[in-house]
Amino acid sequence: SGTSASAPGSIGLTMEDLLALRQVVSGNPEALAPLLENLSARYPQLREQIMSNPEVFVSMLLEAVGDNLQDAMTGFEGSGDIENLIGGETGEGEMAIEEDSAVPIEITEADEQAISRLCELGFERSLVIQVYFACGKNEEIAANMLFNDYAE
Amino acid sequence: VSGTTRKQVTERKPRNVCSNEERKYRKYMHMAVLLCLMIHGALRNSWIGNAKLLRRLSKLVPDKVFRLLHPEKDEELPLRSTRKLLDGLKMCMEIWQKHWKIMRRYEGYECYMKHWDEIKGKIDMKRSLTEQQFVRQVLKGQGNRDIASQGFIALLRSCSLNARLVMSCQPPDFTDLKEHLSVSKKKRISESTFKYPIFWCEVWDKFSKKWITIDPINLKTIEQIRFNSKLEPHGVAGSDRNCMRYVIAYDRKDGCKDITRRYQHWFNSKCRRRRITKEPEGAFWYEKILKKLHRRKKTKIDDYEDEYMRDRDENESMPDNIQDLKNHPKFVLEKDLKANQCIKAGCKECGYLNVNHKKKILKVYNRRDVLDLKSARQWYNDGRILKIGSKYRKIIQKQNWRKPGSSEETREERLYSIEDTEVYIAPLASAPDGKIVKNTFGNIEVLTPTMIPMNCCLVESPVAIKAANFLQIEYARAVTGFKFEKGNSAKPIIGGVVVAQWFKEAILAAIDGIEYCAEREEFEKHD
Repeated sequence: SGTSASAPGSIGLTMEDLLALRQVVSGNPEALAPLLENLSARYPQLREQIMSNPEVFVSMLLEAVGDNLQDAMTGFEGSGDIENLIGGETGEGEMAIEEDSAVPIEITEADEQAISRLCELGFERSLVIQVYFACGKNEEIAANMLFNDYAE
Repeated sequence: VSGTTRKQVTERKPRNVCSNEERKYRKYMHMAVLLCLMIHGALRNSWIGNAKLLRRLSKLVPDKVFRLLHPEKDEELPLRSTRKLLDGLKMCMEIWQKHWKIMRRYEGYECYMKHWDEIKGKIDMKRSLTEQQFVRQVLKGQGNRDIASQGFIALLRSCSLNARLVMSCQPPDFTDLKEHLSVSKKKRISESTFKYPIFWCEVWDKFSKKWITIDPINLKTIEQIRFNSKLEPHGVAGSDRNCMRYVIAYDRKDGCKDITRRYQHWFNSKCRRRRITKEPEGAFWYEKILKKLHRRKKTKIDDYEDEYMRDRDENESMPDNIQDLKNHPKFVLEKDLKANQCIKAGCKECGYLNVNHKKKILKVYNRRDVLDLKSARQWYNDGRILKIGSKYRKIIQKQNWRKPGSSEETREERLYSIEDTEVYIAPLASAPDGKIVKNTFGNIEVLTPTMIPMNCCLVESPVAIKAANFLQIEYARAVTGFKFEKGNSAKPIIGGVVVAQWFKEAILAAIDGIEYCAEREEFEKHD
């Protein structure tokens, strides 16, 4: 049951595919060839993107989506707090946030209220933040995704 | 009775080469897998920097080893300090080999190179490692060779050493165009397949200002590479799935550099041929990725390393075979010089190549001694004209297309180098009327932006002429290119007009107006 909502800057991949790709790139590189073959067949625009804008592809995969954030909330020390993880790297030094990255690091008043409302639906704050930003700060789509994929 | 016999007909075997479409696909897959492997390295590098991991690992290193790793600077003989560092590193290697309790076998090919008939298949998601699992495995000392090597880098970083993760990326080979792999090539996985490592370590030696190479797991060796490395794959079995093309170094400040040069003896020939960077487009694409992954400022260490790489580049000798000389960035065979090239005056060959067991000797030249030439017309297409008094460098024979049926089959063409030319400066438009100097056809040729008169502008639009006529201003039809038709004739393409700068706003407004009217007409037609 994947979701149909795509995160902005994710080259049109569904959240499910994006997470799978990141999982393989970070933890299972042997599966890269078959996965890329599969994704290239299902997303015709992927080939063009990789050939013309590899740096956008890099941004998309280096952002903290999925396991990094989950790990952080189970008391596992990656680095810093959530806000630093979103859109940033775990290394020391300056973080370079590009304009084309999908996930900004500022949480405005309005965002904070939306996040609170989503938490009230019964989801963990860390998960809510991750999904909220991945859905381009659209509360409705985020709520949908949370219910579809993460409701127990 | 004549005719070809059955034997003659079946003599021609089909070449074992894939289709053009498959070739493009392989190039794309090579790039896609390479891109992902480079990102994998960056992500794994950040796992190696995990704070909890570093804290726990530092406890494995006793004080006396730590002191060896950070010796005092010996002012008299820096070599002594380097010696201490090397001793310390050797002890760390031993500590690590003792720490690693269970060396798991690879389950498949892991990060070694796949062949083209192996890239499709099932994706086993359960085998994915998370950062948490990685840390646990390293602390327990249980995992495969890659994890063990990566853990060693964490050990060194926990002792505050500037230790790099080095990864030899192995995307499938885009220069392999074979359609069918021969049956004999289907070998079983043997130990020699994994003889040379994919992951290893480099440590900065601040006394000798060089990077020290350490392979703690595969070859169990420490080396200071001058010209040859033990880590460079040799032999058929060792290089079947390990084709060293992209050696990437990741450091603890999120730097990312291509250091293949250090490990490849023949970087400019054998290695270069298998890299996507051999073509300018591929090189540009690759640089974009490195730049994106390199997330820190330049340091003095980078400067030292750049100098080392320059030395290695200058010292790489001329190849000793024809294949490696093909498209070599520095050397060219005399026989491979193109018709529109010549050797600079006073330059001689820089070496010789023996072919056919010394039956033939070919001359080799430095590429920097080679001049690229063009005809006067070709220079004009680049917006350049011949300087007064310049002499031709070479004459070549060209087919005589212009006068078909004439007695001469070929005509002479004189070629010149860029030094013999200068940028063409078009005469200015007269003020205030804006009259532009035109050619015999009543046009102005604008084949490059430099051919636009300094006080004019080029307005490209299909209705530009109409607009200029409407405004009753001075203008010239602009030839912006040529269309090549049957019979080898070139037809000029009028892309727009050239007008004086002070008419620019007016003509743009007029074009807007004309386009608007045209749109309205179209709209009303469909109503």
